Amino acid sequence: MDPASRKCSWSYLPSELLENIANCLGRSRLHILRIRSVCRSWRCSVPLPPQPPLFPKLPYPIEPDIEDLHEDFKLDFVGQFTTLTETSVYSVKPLSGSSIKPWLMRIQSSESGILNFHDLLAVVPYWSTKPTVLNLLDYRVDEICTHYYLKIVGEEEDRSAYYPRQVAVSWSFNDGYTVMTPVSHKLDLAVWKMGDEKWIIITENTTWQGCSFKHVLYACGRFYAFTNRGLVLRIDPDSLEITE
Amino acid sequence: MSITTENNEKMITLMSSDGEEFVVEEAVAAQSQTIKHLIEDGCSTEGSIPLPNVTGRVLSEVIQYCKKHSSSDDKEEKELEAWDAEFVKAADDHVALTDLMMAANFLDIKGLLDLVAQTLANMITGKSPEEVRRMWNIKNDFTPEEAEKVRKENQWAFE
Repeated sequence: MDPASRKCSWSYLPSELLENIANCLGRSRLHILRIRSVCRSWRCSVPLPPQPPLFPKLPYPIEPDIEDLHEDFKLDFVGQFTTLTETSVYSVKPLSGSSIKPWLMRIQSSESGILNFHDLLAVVPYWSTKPTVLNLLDYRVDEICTHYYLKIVGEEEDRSAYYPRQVAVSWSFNDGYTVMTPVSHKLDLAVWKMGDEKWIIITENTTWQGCSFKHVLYACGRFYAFTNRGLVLRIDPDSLEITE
Repeated sequence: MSITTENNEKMITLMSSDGEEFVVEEAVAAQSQTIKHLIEDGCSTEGSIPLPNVTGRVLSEVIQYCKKHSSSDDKEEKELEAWDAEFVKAADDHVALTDLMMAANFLDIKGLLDLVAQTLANMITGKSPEEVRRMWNIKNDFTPEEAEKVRKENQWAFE
């Protein structure tokens, strides 16, 4: 029997059950927004996910010894502070017209909260002019990946440069943002927590000081750092405790 | 009247909304917190526990789940996960899964409730609101003003 032809009272499903399902959708804001757009009772049952806080200003310098950075990165202005930029890549496809292939676009959001749009396949642009708005109800939008960058900003705010190291970022509603990056020729790990005035070198005076940190990432509530010798460190974002 | 099997396992009878009877071990039925409390409160002395919200078809699936989960211990976690995956696959479509979820909620079987909720969530992921409405025969009942609010909520504005 065709499932849709059977009587089903799903829109009257007790709201706590709908919440169960919504909780299983994970933290993706996109999925929650879509659920809320189905009908009135769903919209009432599933609360709007809170907006992550705006990106904060971070302290500068990040490196304990600024000369360390200058070897492979020339900054031709005096840095004042650092900002965080989030870049996500989405696949976008119009809901009508199943033959149209999905499009890739990159959206950048920075401390001002302004979204910046880049068409990743600009050779054959999907939009003839750059869109100023995009409605998720008209397109199938799926998040593919998210990256973060640190930007060093000078005294005159038009002077800025991207920090040439990988950063890992976690955020929670209670603690705000926590950022981790390799520093000092990638031989140390530095962490900044929202509210701190300085970056903390968490590997200082530990057995891991001097390991060459190749990659950092944040996943499942923990920071991870990978060294070029295959060692993996796990860092708790709250206690900053390191385990191998 | 409760029946006792050879190995002294206490049996109880569950009766579905459409009058079907299922004789199961008490340990299996007690996976449901609702039934467990009914047994503890002595509500099963007359022999069978009526479950007016659950049809025979759904109840037989629920019992299948409870049997598996009461006979497995923690060591078999991996195997149990694989079994769960097959179990929801066999439930066939979202309408059957919805019935199963309602039953799991009424019978208060947390493991089953979570399992079905996750399966349905996976089904919804990536679907547009219109596709979700079509799946469950849900009416788009937003007033024009509400619809406008919904559109606004889904809007991305670029610099």
